[in-house]
Amino acid sequence: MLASPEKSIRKFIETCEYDAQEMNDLALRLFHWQVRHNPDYAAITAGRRPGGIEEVPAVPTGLFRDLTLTCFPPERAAQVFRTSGTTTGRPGIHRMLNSAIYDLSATTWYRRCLPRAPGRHLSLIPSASSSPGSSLSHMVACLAPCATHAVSSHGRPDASLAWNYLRQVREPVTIFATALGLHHLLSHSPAGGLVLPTGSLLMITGGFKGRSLDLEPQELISRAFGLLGDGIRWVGEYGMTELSSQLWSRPLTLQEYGEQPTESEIYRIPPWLHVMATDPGTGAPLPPGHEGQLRFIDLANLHSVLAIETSDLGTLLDQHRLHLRGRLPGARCRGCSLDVEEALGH
Amino acid sequence: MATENPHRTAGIRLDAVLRALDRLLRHPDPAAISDGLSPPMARRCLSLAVGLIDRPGLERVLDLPGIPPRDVVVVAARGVFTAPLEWVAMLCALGSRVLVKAPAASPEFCAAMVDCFQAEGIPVSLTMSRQLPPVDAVLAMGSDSSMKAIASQHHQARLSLHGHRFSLVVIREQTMAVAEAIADDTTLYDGRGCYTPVAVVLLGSRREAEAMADKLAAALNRAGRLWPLGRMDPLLGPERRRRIGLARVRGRALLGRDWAVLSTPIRYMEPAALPRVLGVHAIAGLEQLEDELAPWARQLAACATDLSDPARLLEMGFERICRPGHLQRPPFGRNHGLREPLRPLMGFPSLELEGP
Repeated sequence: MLASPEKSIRKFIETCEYDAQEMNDLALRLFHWQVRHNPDYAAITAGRRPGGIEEVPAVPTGLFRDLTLTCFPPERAAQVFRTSGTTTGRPGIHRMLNSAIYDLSATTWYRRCLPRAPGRHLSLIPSASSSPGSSLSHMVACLAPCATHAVSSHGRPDASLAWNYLRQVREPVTIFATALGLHHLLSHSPAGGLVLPTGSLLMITGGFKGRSLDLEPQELISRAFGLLGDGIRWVGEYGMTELSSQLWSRPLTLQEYGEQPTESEIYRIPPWLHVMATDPGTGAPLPPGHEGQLRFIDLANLHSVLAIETSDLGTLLDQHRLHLRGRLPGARCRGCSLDVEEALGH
Repeated sequence: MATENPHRTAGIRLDAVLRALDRLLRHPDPAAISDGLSPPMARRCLSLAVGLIDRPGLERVLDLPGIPPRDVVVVAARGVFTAPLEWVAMLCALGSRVLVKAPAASPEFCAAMVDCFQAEGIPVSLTMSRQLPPVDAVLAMGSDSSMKAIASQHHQARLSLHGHRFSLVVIREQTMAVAEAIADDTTLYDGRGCYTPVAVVLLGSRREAEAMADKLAAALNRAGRLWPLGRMDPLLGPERRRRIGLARVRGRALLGRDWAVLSTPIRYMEPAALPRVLGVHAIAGLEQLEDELAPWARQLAACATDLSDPARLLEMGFERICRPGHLQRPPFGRNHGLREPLRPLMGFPSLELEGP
């Protein structure tokens, strides 16, 4: 009987030190354990046996819409995360036996990347209790269990509530928001905005490119500094429903952002997450420095699937840093229809 | 003053169009203008496209009622590289001045086609600019969003716009001959057009569908040796891997070097083709197919079938019903999207000169 590598993975995450050999060994152990216990994943691998971490067969995120992908009977899932499903009408579902490893991964890397994050929290993201299927809400609950949520009953950011809260803070505050939520907040700012206490942290997630609203990050970041004061720092978070780990950018002051704006697109990779940029056509890994489709080996995806093929695009700078480039351009739909940048400017 | 005989003029135009087509057929390197097809496939597709256009077909175009547009734009999209050819030939036969908007990423075929028509003195020109001049009419095929964009920018022109559609095979027989014919439909143009079948729907059991999948795999394997796959858009890779993964779990995936036959329940059917990827689905009866296709009723293009009575398929919304092996050989001058594509471009003035 193949033993679960859970204890070893837990210890590896707690240690929080990069060790390529151990990462490789744990990934292969977890792969073999998952193939034994996850029939969907076993079928997808079609008997392939990886010789190293880069050969671990990955599951496209789109398959979370159609398959169960668990190492346990799905009805025993204590934590279920769902994607919005806005693109296809069917949400992707990531089922977890429990959230223990997710929570450990989220809190460990957050504390390592943002040790000076203020302990006072405002969230423009719905609470985990009001949005139990949202992995983002769950993450915020892990990182800031006592956060004040400025969110309407419809789940949209409540700008009025948020500005009232921010007006009253006298100590640095951490703000959690999606790019869209921040856009909403800034669009409803009081005249001239306000000046948040120095050291306040603005955490943004949700990306900018190819999403429901194509927001220009430079414009949004500049507006945030303009309306919340130049004593704040900006930090980006990258995660997704199908992953149990997150990546964080380096917190940037206004001056740092002004000097190196692309730094806001570079994310730090936790030691238990292996990232590859791959050729989207073949799925083959590309050398560091090449832009490609992103694939993750996430040891914290303990009871689902460790290897995930995303629809995101990025460049691996080294095994610790990822330059996120946005979404993979939409593949041309075959039919009479085809690529129509052609159609007159669109 | 002598007046030109319009019929004679039309005859001269038809001769010129046919000579232009012949010139195009003799292109020294069809692969270079095919947007990435392999040389044998490019040569075959060009021959097929030109071969479908004949003098009787062009003469039928002349019988269309109404006044042809003086100036017309044909917006060509990527994919089936020869797609604009039949429309340009028909419009030239009608005597229109044609501006071909070539896809910026692959303008080679349009450029070669325009050269051949110009060499015969036919008023056809090429543009790659997205800013089109004011014209009487626009004929375009592309994604639904593109068609909306064109409609809003050219609302004063007469429009014939054709959005995304897809084709299917619906069969009862499971013979090797049918499999070979379907493989040919799948292989032609590397699966880039709306007449590429996205799936084979078999009226029968799952076991029968799997037996047919085996035959299709063998046929695609043979076709692939004769007509090698050309360049595949790398952005299709992720969707290809997703479909293969799904089939491995929910059905069966048969894979070759450049083809895939994916058997799954019909609820997993995807309404968009991938190069040489064929879904196979078993259904109990046509009622089930009708239910599954209901969300896409307005996107159905052609159906190749061995059923003797196509009435039910026509009710589902297919615009063409043909036999397997004929999907990619639509008759010249056919309807498109259940419409005559040129009729919306014609002018129909109201003549009110009778009486006192």
